[in-house]
Amino acid sequence: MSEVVTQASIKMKLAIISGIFGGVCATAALFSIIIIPLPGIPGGSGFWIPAALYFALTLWFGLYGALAGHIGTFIGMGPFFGWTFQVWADGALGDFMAPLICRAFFLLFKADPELKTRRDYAVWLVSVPIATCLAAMWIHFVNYSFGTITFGAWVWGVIAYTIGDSLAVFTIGTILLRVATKWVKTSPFYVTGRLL
Amino acid sequence: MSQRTFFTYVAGDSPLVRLHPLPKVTLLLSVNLVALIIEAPIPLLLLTIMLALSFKLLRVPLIGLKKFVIVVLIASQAVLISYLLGSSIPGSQVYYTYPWGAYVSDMTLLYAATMIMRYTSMLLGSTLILATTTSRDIVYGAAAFRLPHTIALMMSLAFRTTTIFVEDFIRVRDAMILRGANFSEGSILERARKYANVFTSMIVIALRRIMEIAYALQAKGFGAAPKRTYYREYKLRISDVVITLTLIAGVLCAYVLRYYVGFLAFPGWLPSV
Repeated sequence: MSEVVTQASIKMKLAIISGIFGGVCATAALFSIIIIPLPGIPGGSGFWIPAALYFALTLWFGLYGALAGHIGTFIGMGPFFGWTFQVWADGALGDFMAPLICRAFFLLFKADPELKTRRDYAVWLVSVPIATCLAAMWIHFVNYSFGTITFGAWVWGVIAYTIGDSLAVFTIGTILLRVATKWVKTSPFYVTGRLL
Repeated sequence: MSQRTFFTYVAGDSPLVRLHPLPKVTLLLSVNLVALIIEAPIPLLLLTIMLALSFKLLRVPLIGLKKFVIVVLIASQAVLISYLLGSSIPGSQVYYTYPWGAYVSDMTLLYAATMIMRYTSMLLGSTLILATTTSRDIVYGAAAFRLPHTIALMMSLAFRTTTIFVEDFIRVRDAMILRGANFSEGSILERARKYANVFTSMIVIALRRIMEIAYALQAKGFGAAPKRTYYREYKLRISDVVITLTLIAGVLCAYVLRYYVGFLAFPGWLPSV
């Protein structure tokens, strides 16, 4: 018996994707903080594994993938930094924006997440640092607004965050995109052609 | 009877457990907003003490006190490092001047302590609410705010599945270790590649779980009816409305006192870039 795939059933499944992958991203966040903690930065990690996950998820599932990163970061950072408004506004919102910026680049330049051609790789290599840098600026602006850091620390924080997150996305995210995109594309949840 | 929440078991007769999700969410937001608005040390200290006492008054067990103190200590040292090494806050006494122009004054110490109190009060307030919140509260809270029920479903699934995925992660990693993988050796890039393999397996597990949950929800008719009904009903009482309005008024009062009267501002210095 074949399943009747309706718009409503796909929307519901995409919501489940956000929830379930939110759990996966939260797990990745927990282990990132435990495996490679950043001394002096609560809830921070030198190698943010969930970034690789939600960048790949957003290229596959659009807005719902970014939402998974958003929810996952908030839950994952909570035990180390508290489930406060600040954590939601900086880490969780930043991790929501960054993969969407990357997806916008992919749509703009008609690149394929399977990373088949040189152009796909070029878009990937350029969009990830730009997206993480913009997210880093936002995240540290929020931390600065809440008084947790000074402006001097803002500059260093943005540089360190951009490098650390980009490295994680390039090392793990590239493998994920190369290995799993072909498989994900066969599922009805794969979102093409639109940003949100 | 005690009730299982996100963090712990809380006495069923605790006023916070019985509160409607609407004032609960408003309380969470208002505690964080008020702490963000206040910049004066004494009012922030009073807010922190008041929130700490609320745990006792509202019969909420201060679970994992040791862990809570560790979180506050880690955040405090991050704030202290940032202010002691990279700020220039004018004060009556300058204790130390760095070659890069930053200095430590009496006001630097007071401002850093104030920021620690701000963070602590936010942490206490959020813990107080979440220690009395169940995943069901999130679903019904979203309904109370007239948010789409898919949002509530997302949040509930993420909270519920995190512990399951932690177990899956450990299981996959252990299976790889039994087959000869070593996660503690090699450069960061080599270790990252090994973790990428773990997370590829996790993605496959997650996609399979999505199908199972989707079929279960479809079989139960989730989203089939245009108007959704709920098994349980949270009745919004007059006391819930009064609490919600009082909290909103409290935030507005704090805003006026801080930005128009100047009462809650930090004495003698305005933070700027």
